[in-house]
Amino acid sequence: MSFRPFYFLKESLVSFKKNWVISMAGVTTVALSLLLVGSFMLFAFAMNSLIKSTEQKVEVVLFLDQGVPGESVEALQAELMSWEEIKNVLYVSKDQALERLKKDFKGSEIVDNITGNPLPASLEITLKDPQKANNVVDRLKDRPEIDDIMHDREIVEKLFAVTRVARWFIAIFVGLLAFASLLLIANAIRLAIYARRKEVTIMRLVGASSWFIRWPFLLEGILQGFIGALIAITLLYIAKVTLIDKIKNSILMFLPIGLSQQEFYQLVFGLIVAGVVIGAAGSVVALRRFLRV
Amino acid sequence: MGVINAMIKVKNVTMNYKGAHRSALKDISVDIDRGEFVFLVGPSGCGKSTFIRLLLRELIPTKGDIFIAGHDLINMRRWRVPQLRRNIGCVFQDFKLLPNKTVYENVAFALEVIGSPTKAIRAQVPEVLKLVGLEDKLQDYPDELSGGEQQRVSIARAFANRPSIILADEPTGNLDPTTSSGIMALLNKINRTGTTVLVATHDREMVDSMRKRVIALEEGTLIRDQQRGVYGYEE
Repeated sequence: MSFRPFYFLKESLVSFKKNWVISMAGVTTVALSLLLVGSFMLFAFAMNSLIKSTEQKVEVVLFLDQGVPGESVEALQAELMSWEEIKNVLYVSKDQALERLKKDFKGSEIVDNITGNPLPASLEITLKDPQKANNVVDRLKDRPEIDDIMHDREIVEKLFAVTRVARWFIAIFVGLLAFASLLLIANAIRLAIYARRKEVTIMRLVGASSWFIRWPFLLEGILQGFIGALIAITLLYIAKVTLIDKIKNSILMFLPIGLSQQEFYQLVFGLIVAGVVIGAAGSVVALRRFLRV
Repeated sequence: MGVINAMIKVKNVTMNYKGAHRSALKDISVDIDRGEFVFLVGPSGCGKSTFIRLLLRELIPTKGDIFIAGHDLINMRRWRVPQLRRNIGCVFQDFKLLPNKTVYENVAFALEVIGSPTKAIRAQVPEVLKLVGLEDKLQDYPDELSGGEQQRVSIARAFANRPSIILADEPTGNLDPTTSSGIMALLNKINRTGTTVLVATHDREMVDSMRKRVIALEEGTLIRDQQRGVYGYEE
């Protein structure tokens, strides 16, 4: 049996139009399910960037011993830069430290009461992977140049415990939602095929090949999934423009709930692929019952 | 293959449905030659429909062999089954017409889905509809037709690609006697073109008046196989 794309395309378009109530039920199901998954994904992206930026705040500050000569500090800085866990090392001199303090506590009497400069110079370390902070601290704690290390081990561990759980929670929830929508969609398609079981029976009896019967349903499922995904994406886009972007540009600007353009495109692409795949898989699964010889 | 001359050869076939207490068919052997007209008779539940479904390879028997035009149905690959069915036209009690297609489209559909070229379809459909006497109703929808006319459409559909066998399962079950004899006459006409025809029925008058070969089943057992036979049951 030759594959006749135009015949199949025509058949599926005609049947989409003829059975438009059932077709629309399928499209609506896809749209709603993907909208649900999509909005949760948006939320997950936002949560993820919040988690990331919180993790990024973890840094290690090395307070240097007062008597350490400049060249030793430079040597230490160069050495740290060569460690692979470390992204950047910033030298803050005594003077800069004092400047910062004055700026942070502007107008307060603390600033007025400072005489001389009691602040040590320091090296501020940013890490490539914040989870490695404890290793870095362990390797540095006995160095003579360092007077004290500012790094709260316990807080870091708790923070990572929380973010790990949050990530798992998000992943599981998205997975469950996707599974639920798959079932819903397969069911909608099954209804559509059930409505046409007579046609399928006749096709089988006169000797149409299995794939000949499948193709129009498959294309119809793909069409339903695609249109459903487009609707879901349109609604999500409206939500993004009217809600998330507005929030981002106003009161909550300081909160790093970012959703980059790239992430949004990823989501759009993902939803379209999901819609098409679910539509196709749903029709094949639903057809199996009717094709059993 | 030379041994098998029969169009339909059923050899020691037993069919047990899963979970059923008794066999639907018990050790049935029947040969039907090319061009024969055969009635398959018996009360409801005697195994007539099972017999037909076995020939269509909708079912595979528990035991025994079935050959259609020399092809072994038991060992047939799945993808071959559509090919088999193109060689067998089916007619049912409930017509099985598509309500949203016209008479012409219903017949054309059967040819389209087996991949016939458009040109052949345009030539064959009016021809076969003329054969069944519906050349004036091409654009009617099934619900605009009488029961007899609908059955004629379904016969046209079954015969459109000139299969070598026509299987009819209670083709007159829903029709009045006058209409029924029209349908039987039509099947007879098709039989005279050389097509093998097997009709499952419990229409006593029809069987008695046509005097064709009769195969009688009772509770899954073949109780009679008679040339120029009669229905022969007391009810």
